[in-house]
Amino acid sequence: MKHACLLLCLLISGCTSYTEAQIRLLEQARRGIALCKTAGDERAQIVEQFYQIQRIRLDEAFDADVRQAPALEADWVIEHRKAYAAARDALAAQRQASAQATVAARQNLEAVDAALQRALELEAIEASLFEIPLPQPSSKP
Amino acid sequence: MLTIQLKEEVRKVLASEWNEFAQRHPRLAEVIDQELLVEQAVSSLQSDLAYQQAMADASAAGIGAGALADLLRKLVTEWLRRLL
Repeated sequence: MKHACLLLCLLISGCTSYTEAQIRLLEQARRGIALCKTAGDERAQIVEQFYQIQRIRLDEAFDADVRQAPALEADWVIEHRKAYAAARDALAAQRQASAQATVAARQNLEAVDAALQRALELEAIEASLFEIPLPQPSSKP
Repeated sequence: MLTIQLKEEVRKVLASEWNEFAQRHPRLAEVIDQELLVEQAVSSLQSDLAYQQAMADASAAGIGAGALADLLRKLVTEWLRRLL
């Protein structure tokens, strides 16, 4: 029934506007994906800067404790070194997890974009078969 | 032992040890994110064979929740002593 209605609409009005609308929607979706990618890259940069700052703060705190210690006893130095290393490792593990999540998110967006690109190509084939003029790409996001 | 329970126990043990640590290493204690240490401790404990064996033995012996929590606290404390 649905297909029959669609066919009827196409016979009455032609499929030009329908195909054009589909193409425009797909282009719009691709622009949305591009915006998401840019936002993700910016976020990743901010997160990277955050980890760099945390690492610097950790190094400075390590040095400050050493400078302020009244006497550098062996046990204290060992404990200090262990705590510093544990904090540094924890920070590195979180940074790596964050980087992996960023890569996964980007790959997902790229897969969606590739699917939209493929759909656009199919629409273009359909348009060429029925000699439908392709819409001009709009610059509006 | 559920991860969330293990995390809670690690958090408690770390909190009880933290004041003493902060007195000895004040600047380091200021910048270390305790929650990051908790995550790392949980991850290390879960992959630690001695921990896995101790938990499996306790479960096989059918010990109660209270005794299991005590055992866990002991294991976590030992792990933290090695760390800090």
